[in-house]
Amino acid sequence: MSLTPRDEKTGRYLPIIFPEELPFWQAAKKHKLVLQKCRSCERVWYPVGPTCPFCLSNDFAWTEMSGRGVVHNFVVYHKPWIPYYKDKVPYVLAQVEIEEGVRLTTNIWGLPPSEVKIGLEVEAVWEDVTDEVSLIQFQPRKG
Amino acid sequence: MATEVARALRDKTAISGVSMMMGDYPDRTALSLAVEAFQLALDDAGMSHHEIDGLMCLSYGSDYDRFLEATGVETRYAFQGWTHGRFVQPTLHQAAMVVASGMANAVAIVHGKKHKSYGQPMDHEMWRQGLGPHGESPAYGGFGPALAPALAVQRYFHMYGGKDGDLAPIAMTLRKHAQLNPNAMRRQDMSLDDYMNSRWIMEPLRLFDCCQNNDGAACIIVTTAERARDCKKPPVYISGFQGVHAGRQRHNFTLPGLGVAQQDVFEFTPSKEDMYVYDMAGVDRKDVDMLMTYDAFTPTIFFALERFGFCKPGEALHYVRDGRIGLGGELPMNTSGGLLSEGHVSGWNLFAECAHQIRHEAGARQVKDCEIVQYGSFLGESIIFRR
Repeated sequence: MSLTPRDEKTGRYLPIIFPEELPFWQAAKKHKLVLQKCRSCERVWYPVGPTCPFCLSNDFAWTEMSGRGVVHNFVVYHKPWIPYYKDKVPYVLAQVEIEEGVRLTTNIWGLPPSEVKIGLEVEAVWEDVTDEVSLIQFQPRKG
Repeated sequence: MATEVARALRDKTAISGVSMMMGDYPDRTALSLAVEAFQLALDDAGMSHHEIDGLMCLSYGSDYDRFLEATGVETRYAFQGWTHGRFVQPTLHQAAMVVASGMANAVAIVHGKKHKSYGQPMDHEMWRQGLGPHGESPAYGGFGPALAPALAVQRYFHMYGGKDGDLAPIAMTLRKHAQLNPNAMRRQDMSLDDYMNSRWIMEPLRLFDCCQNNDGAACIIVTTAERARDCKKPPVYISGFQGVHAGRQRHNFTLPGLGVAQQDVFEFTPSKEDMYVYDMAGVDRKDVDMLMTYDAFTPTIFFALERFGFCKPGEALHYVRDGRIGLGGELPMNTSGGLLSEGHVSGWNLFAECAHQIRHEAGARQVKDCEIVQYGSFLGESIIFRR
């Protein structure tokens, strides 16, 4: 793995999969969102990390999340930072607050950027990027 | 509240020399720019390089050891810090503490930088575990320092009813300041139409909401108040300071309470404890003649005004209009044009301007009877300078 992984075919940046985050990425391949839930204080945290940031307990369980949430915040990229995004702009980068209370950094699919609003109800949809990487994305909730 | 020890440090140290260079220097290295800035600051202070016994350099500029070899300066206190804007003020207040505690008599903070050169922090910091320091996420197309202020001001607008165009008075006011500054890089007129027609970079930020980068260098010399009184220019007393407030609730380029990343959502009003800099300096907020803040992006002006209680939650949105933050206004801010219009020397040019204002040498942009200048930014880091 290079230090800054890219999809060779498209030039798109890929995530660095750190060893401690492996359960997150393995579940993502199966289109499941799992995060760490503390067995002491029962809270969920994000980003993935070595200990519970609320009580510093190391006793946690990888737990499946609902995959439902609301757009808590977003920006619209108009400038393509790397060539891969030249024909993708404008696109939305959002922080989606899922029902379990944490905010995931993600994209919003399924509607034009001008229609994305804070408070929009969304649900998970999965993007298979490479054989190793699937990314959670969000789209407007259906029903 | 400031401790007894902190109050004892009030006005015990001062800036005695400053220099600033910015522009395009295609044939110069970061080291060469840093050395020239050092020479200019020594001349400004009327000091010899043999007096400098402390040195602070910053990553991604010239390294401290090469700088010392190149200038033949011997020190008993050397330190290398981090270039980023949020660590500019901490570097300066560290220099003051080093001098106050006698670890050195005169500390030179020296930074020379090339806009595009090998090993910029931007090249790798977005790849760290978790998210980047501005919330970056490369796999999702989340790039660039602008991301953090864009996220922050989007939430700010959501909470307080702001909209496209509300940042324009900031960009336009700072441009007017730059037009009075012969060293500023961006001095062409900026009308409201110019602002509104500038392209989106990352909505809600337009091109004119973002500073641009350039080559540059700066040097600030901090010494004892006693020594500074014998220097060429009037001392710029360092009266009080407080550090960067950081943690889950204090995201980069953001006020507490805006709900960026994992922050809680609430209307932030600073407590006395959040502003102990005034107690250390022995000054009241209403005594501040000029407020300087780290302005790589326009929204930081809102956040500085609310972080230190100049405005109540959401009020900065309206306060910045009608010339209030301009020269001759209620609270002039970033009188040099700031990073947005003067240029970008990693924030060190902001401190050079603080010194020019305190010394009454800012020419056409001089704040009348300027006695007290505050540097204060969104993460709560602050220094109060006094004439």
